[in-house]
Amino acid sequence: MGRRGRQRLVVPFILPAFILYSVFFVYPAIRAFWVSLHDWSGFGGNMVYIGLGNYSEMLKDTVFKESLMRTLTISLGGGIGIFALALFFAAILQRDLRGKKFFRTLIFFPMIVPGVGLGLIWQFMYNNSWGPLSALLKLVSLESLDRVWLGPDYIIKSLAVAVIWTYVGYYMVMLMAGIDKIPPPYYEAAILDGASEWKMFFTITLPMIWDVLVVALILWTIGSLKIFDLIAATTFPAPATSTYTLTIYIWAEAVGVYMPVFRLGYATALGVVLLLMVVVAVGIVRFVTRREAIEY
Amino acid sequence: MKSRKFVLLTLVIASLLLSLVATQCAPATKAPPTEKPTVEEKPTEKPAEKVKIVYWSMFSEGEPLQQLLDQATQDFMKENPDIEVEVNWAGRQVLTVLQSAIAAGTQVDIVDHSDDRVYNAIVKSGLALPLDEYLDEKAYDSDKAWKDTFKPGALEIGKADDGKYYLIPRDDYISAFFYNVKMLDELGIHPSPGEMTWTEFVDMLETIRSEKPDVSPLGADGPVSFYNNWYFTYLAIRLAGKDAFREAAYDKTGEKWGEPEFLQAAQMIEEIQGYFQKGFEGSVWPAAQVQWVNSEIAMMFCGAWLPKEMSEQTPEGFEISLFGFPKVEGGKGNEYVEHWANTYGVLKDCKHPEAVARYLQYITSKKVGTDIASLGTPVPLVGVPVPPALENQFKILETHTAIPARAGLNTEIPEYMDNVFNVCDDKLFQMQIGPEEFIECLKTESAAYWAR
Repeated sequence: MGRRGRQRLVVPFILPAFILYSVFFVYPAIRAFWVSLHDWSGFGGNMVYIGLGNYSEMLKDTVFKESLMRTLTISLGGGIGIFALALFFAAILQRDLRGKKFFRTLIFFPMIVPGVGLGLIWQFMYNNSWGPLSALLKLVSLESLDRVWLGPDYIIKSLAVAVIWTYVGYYMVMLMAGIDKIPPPYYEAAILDGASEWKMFFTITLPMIWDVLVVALILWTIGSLKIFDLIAATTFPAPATSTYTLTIYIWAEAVGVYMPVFRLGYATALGVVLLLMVVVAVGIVRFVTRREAIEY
Repeated sequence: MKSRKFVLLTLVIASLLLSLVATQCAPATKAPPTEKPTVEEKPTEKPAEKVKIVYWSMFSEGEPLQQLLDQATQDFMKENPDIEVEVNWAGRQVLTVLQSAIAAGTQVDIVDHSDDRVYNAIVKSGLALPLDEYLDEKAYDSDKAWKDTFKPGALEIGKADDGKYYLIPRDDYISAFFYNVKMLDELGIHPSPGEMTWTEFVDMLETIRSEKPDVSPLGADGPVSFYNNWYFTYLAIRLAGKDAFREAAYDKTGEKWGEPEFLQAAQMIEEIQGYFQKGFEGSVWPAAQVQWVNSEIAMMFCGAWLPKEMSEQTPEGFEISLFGFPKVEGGKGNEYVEHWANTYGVLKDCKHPEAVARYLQYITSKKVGTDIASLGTPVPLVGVPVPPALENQFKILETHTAIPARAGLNTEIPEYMDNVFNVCDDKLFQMQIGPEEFIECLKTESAAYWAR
């Protein structure tokens, strides 16, 4: 079959996915951009065209800027914590350890619990009156280390810890899949050459799982910028404005869930900015992590 | 031959795809129809044409008030066989789903939620039906006009700037200090419902602290911004008056927050912060409320839903009463009390407004109102018994001037309240900044907000 023939054969197979993608993703994104050019409460058809008015308002919106900083803090800080722990656990659990499967399941377990449930669990954990964290610190006479975990001074850090605990298992499993594919002779040869564990990790493991690591980083970048359910549930019934992340702010502006603010036009503009942020962030990750592929 | 196969294959896939898309575009699942009452028809008479009205409710299935309203709806349909009421128990996100329902052309005739939300959702958008003509009609179970079955002032909650009434209150609330009656009795404290002064209030807090060192005189769940801001709002209005408070919020320069009364209000908040429970700034709702019913906290400032909200956790014998926010000596706004309600709104596109009005007249009748009140929910209808824990609510309303939540600012400029007022107020309330910094925050953030 010639090239033209192969192309003709491919088109009907990719057409359904292309149409679905266009209808459910591309069209809504274009429509969202159109809505973002309007002042609109979301009720009725009274959309007033204001051009880039929503975007210029965003530049002066301190809540937007602070929400953005909090989102980036959780994304970067959470990402460092997640990948450090995921790599550590993946490296440890690749060995023949007793209870390896049990520990892998345990670390992965938070991923199967809905985000709302996890948020409520962490609300309980951080509760100073009857939560286990404060109780444990009192039990071991470390009461001086107890803090108001969901108070204004610590809430972002507390949320970051909750995020790390939730997602580390998912990325650990991804990295373990990559590590499992590395042929053992590489490690055997390194051991014979007298390489230490750290040396083997940086010169064999990390380079050989690089592609998997990049995919994991991209997934985390996308997921962390859009994180919502865990934050909303941990700060239920209503997060203070000083704890808004970008997605919470979009939600608050769009549908009047906390205060009766119904500004779907402005919220859509915030959503478009979030989309652009995700695209740019993924581009940056791909640029920074680019290298020649290692084949083995 | 090959090109015919290609065309055939593409057509098959495209038709499969279209059928998939068509199923996705099917109408959203509606709430199951409510049970139709059996009505015996006289063989010689033609039954009246049945009309359907659709009510989207803020309650979720299983809630006590939902079960009561569901039964009331069934009873209404038995008495009015020509009206079918389809109810969607959508939950607190009802207005969120209403946005897309309106865009999709789905029939929704009645919606309910807090007055500020329903007002901003459908009245401000011009989607609500004025109900004045129906309010002049006879009430469902009385010879009086429907509007006269409500307690004085209750209907004002649903009145818009054009002077027309768009919202009908179902249950109404004030904000007040809810206290443990037995605990204060033991200390010989009997708060006046509506006449306590600030000095008396602080003395009372001090007495509780010294006589009961294991009990926190005040309780709060610090992260809840719209609970925190009650303190500054009331103190600012008490000291400066309602109009000055509103003018300061609307001032585009932010400078009016520099008036001395507002600094004094912030200082008064600082004065009482030591009386809150330890760690209140990070206490996640409803932790402080639970501590209150467990007698670890003496009193909480909250809306009048508090007793009902805590009814399942409240131990046997725990007596609740309330008193209004203390008056400040020499203040200009001591006569005010916040008053708001959960309300019904009607969409102006409804096809059967008469049927809708009849249903609302029934659901706000004395019979249904009495049933609602028996659940511990205050109802603004004449002749409906008051839940025992809330007796003082109506005494306070009789002797004070009712104002909307946060002097109307929650409804008029909710974004300002969320992005400016609450941001600064939380920092003050949670002890991150002092009174002077708080005033600077209000000035700076207000100017930045209005410049957007």
